[in-house]
Amino acid sequence: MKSIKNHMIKFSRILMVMLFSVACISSPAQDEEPEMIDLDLTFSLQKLHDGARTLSIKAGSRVDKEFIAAEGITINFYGDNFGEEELIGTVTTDEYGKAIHRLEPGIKLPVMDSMGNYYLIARFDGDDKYFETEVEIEAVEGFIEMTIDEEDGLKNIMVKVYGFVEEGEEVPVEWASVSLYVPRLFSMLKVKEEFTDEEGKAYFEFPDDIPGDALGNLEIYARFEGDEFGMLESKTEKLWGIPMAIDAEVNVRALWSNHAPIWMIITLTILILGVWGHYAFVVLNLRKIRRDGKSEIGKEIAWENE
Amino acid sequence: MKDRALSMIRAFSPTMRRFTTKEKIWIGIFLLIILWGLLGFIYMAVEGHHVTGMRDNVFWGLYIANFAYFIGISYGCALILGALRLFKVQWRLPLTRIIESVMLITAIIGPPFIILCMGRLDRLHHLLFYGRIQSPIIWDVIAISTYIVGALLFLYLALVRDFAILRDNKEWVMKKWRKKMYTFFSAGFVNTPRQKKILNFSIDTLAMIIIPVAVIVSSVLAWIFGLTLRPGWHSSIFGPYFVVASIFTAIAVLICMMWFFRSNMKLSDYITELHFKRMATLLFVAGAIYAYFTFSEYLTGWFSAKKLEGELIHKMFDFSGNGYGWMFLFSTFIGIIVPLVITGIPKFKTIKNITFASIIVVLAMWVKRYLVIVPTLETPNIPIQDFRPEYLNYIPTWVEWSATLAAVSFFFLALLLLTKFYPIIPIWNVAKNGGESSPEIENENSQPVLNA
Repeated sequence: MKSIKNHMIKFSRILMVMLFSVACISSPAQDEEPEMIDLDLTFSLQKLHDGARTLSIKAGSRVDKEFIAAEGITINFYGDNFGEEELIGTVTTDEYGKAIHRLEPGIKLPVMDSMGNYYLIARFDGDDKYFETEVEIEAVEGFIEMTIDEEDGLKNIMVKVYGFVEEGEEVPVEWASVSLYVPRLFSMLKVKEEFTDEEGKAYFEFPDDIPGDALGNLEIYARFEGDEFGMLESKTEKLWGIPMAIDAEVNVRALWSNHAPIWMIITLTILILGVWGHYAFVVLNLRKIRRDGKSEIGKEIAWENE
Repeated sequence: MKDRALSMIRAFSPTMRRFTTKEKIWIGIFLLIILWGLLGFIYMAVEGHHVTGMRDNVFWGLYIANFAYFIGISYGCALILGALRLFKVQWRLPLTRIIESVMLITAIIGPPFIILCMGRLDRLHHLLFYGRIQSPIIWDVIAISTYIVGALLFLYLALVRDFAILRDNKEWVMKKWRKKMYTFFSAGFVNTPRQKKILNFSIDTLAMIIIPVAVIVSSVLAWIFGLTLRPGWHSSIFGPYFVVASIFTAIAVLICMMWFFRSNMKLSDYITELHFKRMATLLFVAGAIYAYFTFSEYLTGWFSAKKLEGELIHKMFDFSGNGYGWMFLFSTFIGIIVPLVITGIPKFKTIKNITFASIIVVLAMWVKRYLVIVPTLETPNIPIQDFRPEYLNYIPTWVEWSATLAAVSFFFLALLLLTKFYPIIPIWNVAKNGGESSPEIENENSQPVLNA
């Protein structure tokens, strides 16, 4: 009996030591500093149809192969101007770790060399969570042009993509994928995709079954995306869509418009008047009963007449 | 008739003129619960709806379940009352006052729960001034207000004769205020042939109109759910399903009330075993139709198994604790099968068993209303991005439970107070159509009350 008791005491002591150890291991020390994390930056460049450029950044980190967005961090964009860094702009990332800096048309980027190459840097200066990080891209000035031609009812588009003009000569972008888009309600609809030839030209026959606005207007975008050029975009407007005039008269009386459908108003009116009419009839009858009762004052009822 | 009426007045006047100690205690308890519910409401109005379990996804919860439940009972009572009168069913006579009272009280309890759901009470009047007639919510506002007026008129017209009897009786020497009250509400009724004709015709008119009104308002309530595209709600059967569910629930509530009054007010001479058996037959018929509709509803959803519909059905059969398996088992299997067995087999049809079956139905149908509303809202068409557990799953808070208990307390309190205002057994009709008004006597004296 005694030995069992001794064993139990021994066992409970071991258990307590184990529990204490587990508690110490599992609870972090109060004064332990948080671990610093490497920040991943994805930097891209877009040249829009109106001549504006956008510098886009996506910031985050990989934890257990899962991307965790870095929200609210400040990124500075620099241009390398012959060895000297020139601040272009500063952005703060949103909840998805994204931020865009727009350079209005006419603002020139620092040009590095005679070949049209330029260098851009996106830099994060570091904070108490992420290490300092920077990413640099080497870009080439590129151009995209769209030419429209209508012949025998065919709607033809030629898109030309070329690089920096070297000593007065264009450098075509060969065998590159170019796409046509039209904007729809939520996003851009890709209409067609073709490849450029050795002259950097891609030829499209535009379809004639795409809905446009009330007159048939369509906005047509040509886009090309290349590593060194970033995204290049060109835009034109043509009356090539199917006119989609919305007959407002049809929708004047609908569930979502200000005026209810006629049938609904008629039905409700009949129902409401029908029921309340009966109520009014009953109330009038009650008045008749009361009036009749006055002429019979003193004649205490009730069961006498039964 | 006079002797019978006077003996009934002698029987009822003691309970009408004073409160017993037991009643006073109960009134105190009910008032305390109602006060607690009001405090919960004030707390919610000051702090905002985040003190309830309702969130972006589950924006309706216990409140709307209670609304559908109480107003459904009222609609059911109206349908039973109208149908029994138009079909000239004699055995209904001692029960009509209970049915009318429950109809009115539950019609008053239901609608405030909609107001409790509203985030901006300061914009309540917008419903009247800026409501769009295309919205089922506006249909409901119109329908409920129309219905409550009808229910009130019906109860009042049915009471006119009894008010006249109480006014003129010499048996009960009542206080002046009571005498004045009965004189006013009896509307000068002295039982002239013309008055009799007008009153009977008016009650018949209301009985006739209250049936379609109750069907429409019950369907409008169902369409608030059915006209959306949500899983479990978007069903063409929802209108009739709600109508049948209302009748089924109302019969069960009425049987419970019959038992309550019979036991507490010694009304076994008026509410007999045969009344329970007749009501049990109605409960069986309504239960069988309800069972058929329920099976049809879930079979359609389960067989076609559209993604979200399938997800919803899966939750109903999930007994792991994350789903609604036990609630579904109680409301849809036990709540239907047990009452059908008890009311369907003559051997089991005793007063106690019928009342037991009705209590099961009363509870099961409340759970059913909860299951109609909450699991569907927890299965949204577009998944939410912020998936905190309290956003996904609804758990009612003490504020909502307090309002629920306050509503139940109000029901009993109002019923208790109304029995002090008018006799719970219609004196005129029962006295005229034979003493205990039992079904056997009715056979001997089968003159329809419409011709009374």
